[in-house]
Parts: sequence; C-alpha cells; structure tokens
Amino acid sequence: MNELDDSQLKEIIAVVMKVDVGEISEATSMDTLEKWDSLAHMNLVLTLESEYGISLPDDDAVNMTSYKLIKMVLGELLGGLK
Amino acid sequence: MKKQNTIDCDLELVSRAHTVLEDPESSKFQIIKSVQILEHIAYPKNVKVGVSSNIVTDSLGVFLKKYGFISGVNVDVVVGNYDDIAGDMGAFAAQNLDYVVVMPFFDNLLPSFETQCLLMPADNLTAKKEEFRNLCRLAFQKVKFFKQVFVTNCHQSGVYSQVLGQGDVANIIDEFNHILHEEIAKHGNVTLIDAAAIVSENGRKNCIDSRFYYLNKAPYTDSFLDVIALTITNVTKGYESYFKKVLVVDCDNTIWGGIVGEDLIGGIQLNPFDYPGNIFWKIQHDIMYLHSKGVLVCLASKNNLADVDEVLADHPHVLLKESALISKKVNWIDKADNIRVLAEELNLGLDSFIFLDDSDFECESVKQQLPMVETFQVPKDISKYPDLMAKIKQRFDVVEGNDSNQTAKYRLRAQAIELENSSSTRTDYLKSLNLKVRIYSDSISDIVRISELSQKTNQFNLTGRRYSISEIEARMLDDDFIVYSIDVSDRFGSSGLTGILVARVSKQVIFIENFCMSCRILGRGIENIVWSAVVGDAHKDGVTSIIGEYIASSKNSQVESLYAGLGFNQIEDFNENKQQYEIFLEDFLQPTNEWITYERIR
Repeated sequence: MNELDDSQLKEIIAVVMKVDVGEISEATSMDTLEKWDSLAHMNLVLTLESEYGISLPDDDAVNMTSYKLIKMVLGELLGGLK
Repeated sequence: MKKQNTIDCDLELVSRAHTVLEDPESSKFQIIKSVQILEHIAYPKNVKVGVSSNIVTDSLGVFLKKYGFISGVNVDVVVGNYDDIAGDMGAFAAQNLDYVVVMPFFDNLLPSFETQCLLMPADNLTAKKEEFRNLCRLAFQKVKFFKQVFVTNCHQSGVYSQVLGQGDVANIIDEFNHILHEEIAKHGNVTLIDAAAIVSENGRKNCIDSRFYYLNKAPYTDSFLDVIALTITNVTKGYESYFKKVLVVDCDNTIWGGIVGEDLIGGIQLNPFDYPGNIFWKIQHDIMYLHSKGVLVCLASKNNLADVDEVLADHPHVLLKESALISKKVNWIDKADNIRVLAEELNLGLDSFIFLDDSDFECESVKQQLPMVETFQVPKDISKYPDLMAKIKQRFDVVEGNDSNQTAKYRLRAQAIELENSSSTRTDYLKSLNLKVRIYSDSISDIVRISELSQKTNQFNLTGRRYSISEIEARMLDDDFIVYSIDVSDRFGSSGLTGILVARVSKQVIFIENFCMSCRILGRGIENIVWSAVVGDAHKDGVTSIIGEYIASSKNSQVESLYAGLGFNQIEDFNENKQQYEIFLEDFLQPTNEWITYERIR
C-alpha cells in the first residue's frame, strides 16, 4: 500500500502504541501520549517503513514525533513515489 | 479490549489473526495487530520467556508471541533490564520463568567494542575477556531454574575491512565465543544459537539497523529477531507442544531421482557429480544427519522390495543404507495404512510422524486419512528441494544432544517384538531377553535425564508430578527424600535410564511422590522390581508402611490399579481423580520376576 489514508495511519499508531484508536487525533504527539516513548517511537518508525515500503532518512525518523509531522513526512515520501 | 475466553470471542477474527501470523509476507503492523488480538484468547498452554541483553531487544517479544501462537501456545515475554544480564537471570529465576534468551552483543560489551578492541592494550583486552567469562559464569549459575536457556553467540556487526587488518576483529570475536562455548558446555540446559550464522545467512545489512543501534541501542532488525524467535520455537518443539520423532520417506523421486522399477539401479539419479543426482545425494546426507540426531527414519514406498533392497545395498552412491532405517514398508499397500502400522510398531503417536513423498496422490491421501501426520511434498522444481529439507530438519530440532542412539534403542524394541512372536510362552520370551535392571538412589550424574523423564512420561506416570532439574537436585540432597532411578539393559543392548521413583520418608511412612516409567520397556515386569529397593530401604529406616498415590490424567489410566495390584489398600478417595493407597511392610509380597537380574547400586 502506498496511498496515505488518515484512518489507516491512526490505526497503525494506535496498534503500535497499544492504545484505542479513538485516542489518536491530529493533535497527538510524543508529548501528549504517555505510551509514545523512545522505544515505541522506534517501533512506530519500523512499522511505518514496512507498511508503506519506504526507508526514512535519519532526521525524519528521529523528528517525526507527532501525528501531523508523520503525515507530512509520509505525504512527501509517498507523493514522490507517484 | 477486555479479557475474553475462547467461547465468546469472535472465532473468525481469531482464525484471520492466525492466518496473518502464518503468512511470511505479513507486514509488521499486521503481525502486531494479530498478536494483540490473540493475546486476549485463552490458550491451552502458557509459557513465560525472559529476554536479557546488553542491547535493546524488546521487539523479539512480538516474534516469540507470533511463533508461540502458531504453535498454539501463549508466550508471556518478560524483558530484562538494559545491560544487566546477571541481575536479570536472578530476577527471572524468582519469577519462575520457563525459558530464557540471553543475547550478549559484542560491539556493545564496551562502546563500539569492535573498533575499540583493535587499539586496546593487550592487558585490558585480557581483562575484558576475563570479565566476560565471569559474566557468563554468574549468569549461568541460575540456569537450573529454567527448562532451557538460549544464548546467542558474538558476531561482527560493523563492516568488515576488506584488506587492512582483515580478520583481526574476527579473531578477537572468536576468542570471546570460545569463552562462551566453554561456559555453556558446563550446563546441560543451555543451548547456543548461532547468531553469527544467522547474520551471514541473511546478510549484515538485513540484520543490523545502524540507525536504531546508535539512537536506541537496538541494533537488530525485525527480520533477524524473527529468525531468532523461530529458532527458539523450533528447538523447544513449540514449547513442547509437538514432538516429531519419525521421518517416513518415499523412495522414487524422493531419496533418488527416477523410478527404480523402470530405470533399474543403473538408471536412477544419485550421482553427486550430476544434476539432479547431486540434489538427491544431498538429501540423503540430510536424512543421514537426522538419523545421527536420533530421528527414526522409515521407508514407505510402492515398489518391489528386491529392487529397493538392491539400491540400498549396492548403489555406489547410496548413503541411506539398511542400518539407518528403523523399518521398511516397501509394498503395494496404502501408505496411510503403512504409517499406522509403523506407529504401532514403534509405539509412537501419529502426531510424531513426518511424511515426505513426491506424489500429489500419496500426499493428499495421507493428509486426508491421517491429518495428524505432518506431510511434505517434494517440490516440482527440484532445486527447491534442499530448502524444503532444511524446513523439515527444523521440525526435528532437538534440545538434548544425548538422544543420538535412539534409533538403536527403537530398533532393539522392533527386534524384540519380532522375537516375542517367535518365543513359545511369555516367560520363555522374557527369560531369553536376559534382562538386567540396575536401581540407583540419588544418582547426581543422572539429574538431567531424571528430570527429562519426569517431563516426558505421560502414560506410566502415577501422579503427573513433573520435576525440574533443580527440584530433582534438591530432593537428592534432602535426607527425607530418595530419588530412585532405574536403568535397564537386555541382550539387545541398553535401554538407558527408563524409570524413576521419588519417595519421601517421614517418620514411619514412605510416601511415593511419583513413579514414572518409559513405555519403551513396559510389559517385562520391570515396574515391579523397583519395589525390592524401596522395601529394602524402608526396612533399614524403621519404616512400617508405604503410601502411594494415583492422580488420574487423560493418559495414565494404564496404571490406575497399579497399587491395588501390588496389594495396597485404598485409604483415601479425595475425588474420582485422586486416590491414596497404603500397605504395611509386613504384608508386602515382592512379585516374582525370575527373568530379571537385579542389582542395587548406591
């Protein structure tokens, strides 16, 4: 899959963070979600990479610590694929 | 999600989650999601696995759970603290974990150790090696608290220098691995996982993710951890949820190319220097390897016996010879029927069988009639056959290394059955066996085998009590307990340690905590002879009576009336599944076993 679907992205974040999908919103970030620690973040990056078939550059991998930033980074990468 | 049990959960959801886990193409997201669904299901078996490392390996948990669920086992994973292997082992022991995975990562023994070690003063490197040895010793002190401990070996994680200083790091890593091997060898239940081989098989780039190594100290990729989890699941036989013992193979186009009935011995393909003979020759090597590891190999082939025998005896390249085969079913009978007969002859359940054949028809027929037999079909693309054989070998992966003469033991049994049919009376037959029984008490050197027997035995097992290695050791050292072990041999050879009896002496009573015998040797009166030892010791200790207990399980009904048969009287009937029996020593009559020579060894 390489189309960015909001509800799919929220579900991935929710599953990796082990929270209910209702807890993930546009405003969710490492600061607002307690379970989003550095280990969970690593897991999230790896899961997104395998799910979207992409490889994230170091800076993006480290810095995309909110729902909005993830959406932006993925949007650019996947848009570039088209 | 709330805790659910299997009855009210969505069965379709569960089956879809299983399908995802079994599909090697599933993404990490799908795997995590499926694992989360299945975690809320009640599985018949639960095991606890601890993971300890000097790096972050949390993701291993998902893959251990994945392969656990595939085997029908719920795996509870406990992750230790970062870089505290010795401390973790103590904590894991206190938490009663079943299995432990220890993963020392060479490059993180000190920061960037692969680079640092090349410049280190020799004294410092020597000191580091000693420290590593001490760490292993300290960590392995606790291994007897677990069923099995897995340790990955050291390997290089950075890029090998192609020319300059080539091999320097590799040599140092070899030295560390040498230490690791020496320390592992001191313990019966510690198994080495060759992480170095996994890295070289899959490629360093696919196993090491430098981003998360430098960022989170988590160097291993999911694909590497997946292989580790699969290996552990295979070696523990799905955490003892399955037990494969027998490989039944077809002949034509399975252990050689071509059809011997048509191509004749000169026309079949088994030449290591020709295609496709080289593939079948390799396959025969693999089968011989399994044989050397104690797997029982049988033939099931629709052929004329004389044709097959000629190949086994006379083909210049044949490796799989008569002596490696436990039984041959070369006839024109349905293969499923032949497999049923084999199961009876070997006294093993059909679920311990793997069947390998090239024919669609035979594979389908066995799958349908005997779904509990695991069936594999030789691929149409014959070059993929070695990969399939690698998969079959993994199904047989064994923890203990001491089972390699198992074929000999089972062959003895098969020969003994034949002899039984030719002897006129049962007593004549038993006499002709020259049975020798040795009974040991508190034999420290047999601790591992004794614990193993208590874990494995289901049918002749009076109370179902299982003992870990440490529990046996504790009883041997305790004056109030006597652990008897029974060793049997006959004219065909030794059957090894085949029975145990754990007795607790309190005041004037001996209480039999459990009595187990391997079913391999039943029906020869050996189960009676052990009482000579128990009663003999009882007299010495001033004991007046013996109390035995029977706790019913789904498999041990054959020993339901053992105590009654020996003249014990029922004293307690706790419920329909648990009864106690007692006999006064003066009333005990030792059953006669004129055909057994008995020796008491202290």
